[in-house]
Amino acid sequence: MGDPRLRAVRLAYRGRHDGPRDLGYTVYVVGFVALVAVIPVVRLLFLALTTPAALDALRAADALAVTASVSGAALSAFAAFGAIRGPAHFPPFLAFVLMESELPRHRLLRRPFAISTLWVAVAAALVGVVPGVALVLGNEVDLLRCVPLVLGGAAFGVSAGVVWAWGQRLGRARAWVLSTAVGLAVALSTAVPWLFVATPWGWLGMLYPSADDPVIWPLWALVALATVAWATARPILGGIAAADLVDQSKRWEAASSAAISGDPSLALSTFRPLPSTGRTWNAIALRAPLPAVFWFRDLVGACRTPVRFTFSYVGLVAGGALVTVALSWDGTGWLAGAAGALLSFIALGGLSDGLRHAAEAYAAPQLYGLSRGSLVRHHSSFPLSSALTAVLVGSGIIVLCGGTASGLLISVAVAAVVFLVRLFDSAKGPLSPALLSPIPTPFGDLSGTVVLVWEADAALLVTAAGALTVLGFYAGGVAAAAAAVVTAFVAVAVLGVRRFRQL
Amino acid sequence: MLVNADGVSVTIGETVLLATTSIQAEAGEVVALRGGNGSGKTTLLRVLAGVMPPTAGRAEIASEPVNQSSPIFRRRVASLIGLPPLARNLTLAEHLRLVGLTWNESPESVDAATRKLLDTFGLGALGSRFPHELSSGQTQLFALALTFARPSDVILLDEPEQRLDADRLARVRDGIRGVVAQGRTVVMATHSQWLADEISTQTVTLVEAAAVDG
Repeated sequence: MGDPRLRAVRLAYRGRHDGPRDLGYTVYVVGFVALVAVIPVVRLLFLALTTPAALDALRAADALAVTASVSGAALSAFAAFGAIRGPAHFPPFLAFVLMESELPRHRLLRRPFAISTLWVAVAAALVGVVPGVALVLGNEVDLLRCVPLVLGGAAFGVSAGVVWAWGQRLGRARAWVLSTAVGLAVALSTAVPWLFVATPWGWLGMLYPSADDPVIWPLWALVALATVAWATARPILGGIAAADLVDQSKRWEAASSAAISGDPSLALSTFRPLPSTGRTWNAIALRAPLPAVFWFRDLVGACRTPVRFTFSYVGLVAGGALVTVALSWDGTGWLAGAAGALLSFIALGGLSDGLRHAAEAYAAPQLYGLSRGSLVRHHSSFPLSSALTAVLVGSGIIVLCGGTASGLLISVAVAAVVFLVRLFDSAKGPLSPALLSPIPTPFGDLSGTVVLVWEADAALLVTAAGALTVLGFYAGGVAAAAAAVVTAFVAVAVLGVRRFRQL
Repeated sequence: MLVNADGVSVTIGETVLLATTSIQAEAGEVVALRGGNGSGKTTLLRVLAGVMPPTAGRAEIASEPVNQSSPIFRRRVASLIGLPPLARNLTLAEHLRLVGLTWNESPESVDAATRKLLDTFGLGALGSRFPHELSSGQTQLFALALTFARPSDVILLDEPEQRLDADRLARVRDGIRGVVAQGRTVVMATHSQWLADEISTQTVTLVEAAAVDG
């Protein structure tokens, strides 16, 4: 049981609503969303997974390695995410009141931590259910063979919750070290698969249902690890600094409000790391030609957040590699193309601060002695050249390893579209009230969907461009892929010009 | 006449943002716009900056109608109406250098002007700080330095005294005196009687729009 004072504070905070909660409406919304969105999507997912091609993929020999690598990558992501939004989370006011009190921190934080970890464990178990059920429906394995993966997923989820808390405790300055260490360990074990036997993600992979004799010891290993990890939660939670928790809580609430009110740029800017290193580096080359001044200024500016800078380049290289790999596949390979374009887009965000600044200056009273278009052009050179070269490196590695040679050209063309979408996205203002107009349908008001599409427009555009380019290549080779890229380029350019004019 | 607002007013629907107002200023003058909250001081600055068209009247800079799309107008008018766009990954000194360079100033003069501006506003020791590392008062002083860093004939300032203590306010006064000595004209909205008394060559008191309607 919790501390009586803590219970009293929680009760008082919950009781702040004046009127009774509208439980009926909540039940209606949850039921309706499940009926209209969740059930059809789940049905579609299982129909897709029980096709012969999907079943072939699910029972492939490398399913163990894929499961292990993906779950390991998730562990690395949890460590990084902890620095942004940890499992021990309160609304800002409650965080301030409770963390400033003399109550032990581990006691204050164990309830939100336990709830968050429970969600992760349930989600991880459900992820294990998906391939299991597909294989059972496809008569590939018995139902009992799927149980270890589901239970192992839950145990792995508990460990992931603790890693998440470690990320929160380490904070923005150090969580990336843990995340990178886990990521490197995952990469190493993927490259040297016999190492899987010594890693939690490898244990989870070994529980993947197959027709072979099942191995159960990895399940016990995962349960033991989860138990030990859970036991270490107390000192981790006790070490979370009050100021960090309140700061994280405030930032998260501000970002949520901005996202809900239709200002995703503001929401994302809340999480962009601020520079703290390289203040003595000279970013302004006074005697260089102006285009070089801006290119160098953006390079130095990006280097002042070194972790973000590194991940941006790694992400661009990986994005280029994915698009090139996708060209050698068929069937569902377009998914890799879409993922590669999306990854490049996300990565390029870390090199586009200058571009965002140019868009901001574009809409403000004149500060720089350049025309607005010229300022945007000058700030475009660094992210564009970075995107093209990094993607070329990633694509080149795949080509050297036997990938399609035309991947060099196609991945660079996709990178150009990705850059253009970044430019388009940098000029995104707040949500237009016109988009909030009701759209009555038999399924209710769909204006929320329009807002969601508007908020995710850049991500949707690059994903579609990546997928269509790869599909074009499957259908008609380089010419068709080029046609898809040019179409995407022109469409984004038209949208971008329109958006800049509205600033 | 360098600055000429002749009978300008701004209304949106039935709401009067700026009652009919006229101001004129020659080169080297400082016009202090005074009046309570909602009297239209910022609106008048927006009209002169060309970001808000007047509903009635005529606004001119150097005998040309205000026009944000004209490069000549943008060259003539610098304004601080809200915070200017700040680059999160540049230091204060680098901001000033970059702005100077884009206005075709020589590397030597850019460096000298940067040092002078930072010193004028008491930011000399903070040249290698990033914008997010400044207090709110320091941010206000830096915003002023940035506005003064670019060449202009007319400078429009909205409450330059915001968030500043008496010592820092004296620095603002000195900074404005410095640009006026170069022959530039300053039009500023201010709630500081002291600042207006110290530097203004004329004071225009705006009347609250609602009172005019009534």
